[in-house]
Amino acid sequence: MKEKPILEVKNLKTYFYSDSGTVKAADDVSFEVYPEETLGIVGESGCGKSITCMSIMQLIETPPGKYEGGEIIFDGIDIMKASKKQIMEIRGNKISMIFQEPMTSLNPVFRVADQIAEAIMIHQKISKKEAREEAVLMLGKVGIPNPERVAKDYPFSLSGGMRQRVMIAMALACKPKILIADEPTTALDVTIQAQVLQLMNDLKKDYKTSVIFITHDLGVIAEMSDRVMVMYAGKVVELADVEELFTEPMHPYTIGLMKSKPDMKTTGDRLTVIQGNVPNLNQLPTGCAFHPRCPYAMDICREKAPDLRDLSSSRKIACWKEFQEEGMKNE
Amino acid sequence: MRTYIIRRLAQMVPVFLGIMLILFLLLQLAPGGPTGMLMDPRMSAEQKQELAEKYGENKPFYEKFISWMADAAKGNFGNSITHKKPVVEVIKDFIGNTFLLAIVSLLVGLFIGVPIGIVSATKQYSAVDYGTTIFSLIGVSLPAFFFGLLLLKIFAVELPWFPIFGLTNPLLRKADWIVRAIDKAHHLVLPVTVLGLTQAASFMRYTRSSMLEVIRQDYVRTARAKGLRDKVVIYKHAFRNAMIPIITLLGFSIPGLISGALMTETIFSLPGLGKISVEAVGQRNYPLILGINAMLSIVTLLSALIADLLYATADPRIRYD
Repeated sequence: MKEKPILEVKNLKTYFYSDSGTVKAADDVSFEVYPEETLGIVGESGCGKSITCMSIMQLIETPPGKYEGGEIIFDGIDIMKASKKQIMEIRGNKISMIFQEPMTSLNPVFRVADQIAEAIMIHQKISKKEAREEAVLMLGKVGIPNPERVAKDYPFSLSGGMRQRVMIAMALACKPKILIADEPTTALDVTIQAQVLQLMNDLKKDYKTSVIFITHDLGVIAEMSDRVMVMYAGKVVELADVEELFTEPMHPYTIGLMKSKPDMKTTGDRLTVIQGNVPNLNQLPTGCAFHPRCPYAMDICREKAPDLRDLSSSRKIACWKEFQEEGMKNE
Repeated sequence: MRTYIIRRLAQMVPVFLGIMLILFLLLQLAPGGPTGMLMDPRMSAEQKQELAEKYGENKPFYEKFISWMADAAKGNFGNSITHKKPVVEVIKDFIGNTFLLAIVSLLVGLFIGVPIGIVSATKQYSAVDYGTTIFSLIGVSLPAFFFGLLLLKIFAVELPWFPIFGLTNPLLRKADWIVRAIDKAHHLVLPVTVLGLTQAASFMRYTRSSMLEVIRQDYVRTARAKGLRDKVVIYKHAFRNAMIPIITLLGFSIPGLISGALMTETIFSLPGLGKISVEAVGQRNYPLILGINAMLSIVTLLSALIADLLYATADPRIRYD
């Protein structure tokens, strides 16, 4: 894992301005993506997972959003400073994205194959006919039965799982280096979900693509990811290898998440929950945003937000509890 | 598809009968009658009676209606009392000008309103958006008769750039067709401005709101994520969807367009259906009033059908079988 990262996000700040205040949707987010790995991003709704990934694609509507700072280094280019032309070359070609809602993510008035072929034709100099043949080939690769016939269908005649397969075909058509999957299975039922996840894992290996996988489903994360990044209120709170994170969560928020996860042994009892509510992003608490809900909260947590610091070579955490212990050990 | 069209056409028959029945009733309720105009005040009571009898005015209402409908079914709408010609021929003489005005105005409205609506939606809350929204509000709310008179006063009276009335210059009757075409276009500028701008204003508003809705859809984001240029995203992916309600609107705007044309014709004294129908009402020319309204209701019913058919071509999710 000590290779050169293919994507580096450094101190990304994406804010939203509205009449009711400023929302720091992604606040000082830093992470790397390595070749052929799957990075999972978990967190509750509104924690900034999607905003972070939309920022990588530069898909945030500005206004109301605004990129307030940071760098996103990909292929030697800082995407935040890249020209429109450079961004167009990256989007859908080197980094592509699939979305949460397969039902509404395909254009209802164009045929399935044409929508895939379009993505190919933007980035490759091939004829419409070749692009269409390629599109049919892709439909076959994502496990759509009878791709020739489905190619001529409109999205409305396909089920949610099929549409998500079409989205995956479209996203992978240009063999991107990074695939961002924004809760791709949330809207699907569990059996279809398993099939789509299996498909993504297989294609990832075939295409040697890195995947950024956003979800709030810890089970899915465990199954898909190599490394996991936990976000809370716009900030990264913990970043670790998947096994480390699941066997020994360290940030109090991650610990809370793991405890509230039902497993096979869970019986009729109530689930353990993290006390309190997700803070309003307009009015974040001072210091660490998690301190009002944190069972380990100390004085410093109320005053100063902790930085994300290395705990070991593979692990980063933003929590005063860990640093104080570390500090004491060093003394 | 074919059975659908046939079924829809069949459904139009009772609707059409209903419209004509209401129209007939309204005319019955109006005071006076067609023979009133033909009567000499010095006529004796018997002579008046005789005249009324000749035009069938004394028959009971239902008999008049049935006989009119029976003739109409055969294509005979009676004779226009003032023109001394069959109603069908009178309409034929004047309908061309009305359609010319209506169609040119519709095209002007579409070619101005739709692009402005798209730009205004893509730049929501910008100066351009506010400017065009105010323009369209004025366009929608300004009454045609007032706007028309204003234009006449400024561009025909104060600045004699355009003719005050009519559609052709009688002095050019024997000129080349191209000269006559230019002359006609010259006469049409002001009327088309009045009618076209009203149309543009409403198309702009509909396009704007339709585009605003579509632009927020997930598939527009997908199109952007593919790496498509903004222009392609807006004009291909977004507009192709935003167009669907506008096409429906187009079909339903045809009747309004024609009644707008009637109004505009009256202001600019253009020889069209508007002018003769206003005259017909003034002169209690019942056969002509009925004939024109019958034609307008057929046009309205057909445009509703056309709107539905266009809807199916624009949206693959709609199928009639």
